[in-house]
Amino acid sequence: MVRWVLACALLAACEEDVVVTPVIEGPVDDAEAAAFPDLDEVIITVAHDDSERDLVSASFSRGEDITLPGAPLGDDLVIHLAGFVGSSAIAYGRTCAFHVDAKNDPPAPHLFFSRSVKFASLGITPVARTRGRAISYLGSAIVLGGESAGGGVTTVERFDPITGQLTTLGDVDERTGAAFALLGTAPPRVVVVGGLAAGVGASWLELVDPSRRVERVDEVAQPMARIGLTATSLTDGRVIVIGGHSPSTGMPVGTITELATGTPIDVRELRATLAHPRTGHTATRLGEDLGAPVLIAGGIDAGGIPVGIAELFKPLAEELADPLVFKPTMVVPRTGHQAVRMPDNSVLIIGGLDGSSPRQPVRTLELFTLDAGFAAVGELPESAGITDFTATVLPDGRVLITGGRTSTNAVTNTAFIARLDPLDGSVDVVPTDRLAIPRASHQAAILCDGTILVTGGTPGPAVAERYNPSAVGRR
Amino acid sequence: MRGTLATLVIAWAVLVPATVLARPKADLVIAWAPGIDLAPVEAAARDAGAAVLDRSPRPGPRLETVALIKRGMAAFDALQLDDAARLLGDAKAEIDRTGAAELTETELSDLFLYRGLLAIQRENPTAAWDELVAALTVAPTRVLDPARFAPKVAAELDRVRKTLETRPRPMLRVDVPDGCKARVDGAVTSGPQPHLLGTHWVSVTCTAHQPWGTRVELGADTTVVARNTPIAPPTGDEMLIQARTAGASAFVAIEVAGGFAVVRLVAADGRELDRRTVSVKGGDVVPLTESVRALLAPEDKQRWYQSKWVWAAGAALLAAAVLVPITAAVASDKTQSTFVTKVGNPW
Repeated sequence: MVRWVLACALLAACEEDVVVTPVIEGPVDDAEAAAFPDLDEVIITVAHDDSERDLVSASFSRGEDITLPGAPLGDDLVIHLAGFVGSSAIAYGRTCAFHVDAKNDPPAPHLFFSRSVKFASLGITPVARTRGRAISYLGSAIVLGGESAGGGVTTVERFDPITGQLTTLGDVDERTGAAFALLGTAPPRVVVVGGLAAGVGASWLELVDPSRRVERVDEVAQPMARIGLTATSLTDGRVIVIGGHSPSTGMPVGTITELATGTPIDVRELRATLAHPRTGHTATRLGEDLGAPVLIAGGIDAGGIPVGIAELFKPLAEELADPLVFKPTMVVPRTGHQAVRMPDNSVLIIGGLDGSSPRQPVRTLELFTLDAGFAAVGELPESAGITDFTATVLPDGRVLITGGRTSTNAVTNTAFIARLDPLDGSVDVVPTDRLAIPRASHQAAILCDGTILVTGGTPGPAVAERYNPSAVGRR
Repeated sequence: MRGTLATLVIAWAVLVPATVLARPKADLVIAWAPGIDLAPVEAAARDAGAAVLDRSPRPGPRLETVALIKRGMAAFDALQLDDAARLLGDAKAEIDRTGAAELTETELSDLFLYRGLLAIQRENPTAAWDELVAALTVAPTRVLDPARFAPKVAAELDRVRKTLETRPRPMLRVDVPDGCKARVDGAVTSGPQPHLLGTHWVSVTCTAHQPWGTRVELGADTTVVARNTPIAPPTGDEMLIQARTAGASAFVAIEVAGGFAVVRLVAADGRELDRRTVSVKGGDVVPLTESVRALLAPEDKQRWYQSKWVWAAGAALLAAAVLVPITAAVASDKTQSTFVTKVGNPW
């Protein structure tokens, strides 16, 4: 025993310092967003993820070597880097959480550092696609689906901010108009549902994840060969597929189907059906609690008229709220809109097209709350995208609205931030930095370091961009 | 003596199987299962020691229409024409109200046949013709029994039949709620069916709705939408009150709708403890019975020494006894607990 303890002590005495060298990344060929070399000072901090308390922190003046000793080993550590000109903080970046111990090789986490509240061009060029989807997957972004000039895009790509690499995960079947959602929790997989393949409804499902790549499931008990449908992830890992319409008849359906992880997937059509069958709607989960209800809003009915009345799906009871009791009506019934959950579990309804002929873009912003239903809370600016834009929740709870088509149908590069005022329930919309390239029907997803990846939406291949929000909420 | 008693108590505690003392997880089963035979479920619940309260809707009392028609026919045969007219008139009013529910095609046809005979006896040929037309409209293939009816009645009916042969036959469709059965002129129907132009009676009976019926004047293709009033299942609060009134600490609630049964285990404070959803399509209650049995099954109470957690805790204590001194020794060494972050000079 004494001999064993002595051996340990000798080994410890021989050990050298564990050195973590983060890889500092920045914009490529984008001088406006680059932080160095104009900075006077940087502050580097090591802290636990989701913690406001610094473990170690130090400031370094221009030209100094940045070396910060004394950070404790741990498994959820984050390095923050803030850049100053004079006393003004103008740049910020952080790593995703990483793990350091004394036994394994130290990691080299990537840290994307650029000017705050600016888009930065990256040195990567993803496959050109429109109408696809970028899904946040365990801190990375999986980009899939959509179409390009040559037809449907099959390539599935993943951007991982931990490595800073864009990789190809595989190929899904060529289809357009599919719905995507995360299925399961340990770990989740991206499920692809519905859409059009070779002109007919795709009845099969596909599952995508980085380890197992792409798996096609043909034997589906309840085929979902529909378009205009939604797929919404529940907190317990199930996915609820709602509505849509048959490509052959064009008639919207009220079907609600549950997907759950099985061997490899269990599909079950629920007893509940929509009181108002619809397509082109949104389905938004109202919270992170187990059993949080799902708001079904907008879309068009069998007559092509936007459905004003919203419905509420209750996952634990597997039924819809009584339509005689729950019948909130949108201020402006619409389709092709986006719905984003706000920090107080209200839902912001953005953009879309109304019921007039021809359909007109809707600039009215609406906020839904369970207590008060829908209320108009403002308008999108003239220069904002009203259709084919992206809306992504930032780490501080505000919503980043990028690109899209304006009310004159022009593709735009504008970007705005919508903020809910918790005191009076109003929504402010303020402009932020513009995209380098006008984009419409593009893809956006939040990454584990709090930045937003923006890809696609252009006629040909174009570099990806990354929006660097303010440091608020990114601890 | 005391020592013997203590020994007996310990032996009883250790040796008596836990299941002997086991109680079901719920004391009461409250069921709402319209049209489902719950006998196997009730047997399973009672085997498990739970009482059963079947709140499913019961079929209403039988209608008097058939009796009225039979009494009217008997009165006619006894030449009590005024009584026959009153009884058959009452029966006619009743079928207009109920859509001829619970009548067969022949019984409905008999009603109008006898009303026609009554009109012949009273020398009212126009009314007689109308009644015989109504009799053949609801039963176009009706053939008279020569032993019961005079040859002149059969001849008159044949004359009516020839007139009706040229009448169009529009389609009649009845839209009914789930779980309901439609009858047109006493015959069960589904989907659009051709019927002779004229008056018909539609009745719709359901397991979870009130019966409904109406008279239809068929002039063209027609869809009749049944308006059966749903019978509401007991609400959660009602079931809770019933369970509390019965002194149950928990209850199992069964609700059947649309071919599925939702079985919930609910505590007396209203919290849902467990839930199963099973199919009862085709009246198959085996999965439902198994679900009720599983929800009522008593928890398998283990002795403390049978618990894996006790064994795990013991193992943890043993491991700690070995490892803590070693860890303390290692921790006292100068093993690293911090790291250095190096960026270099990024300017």
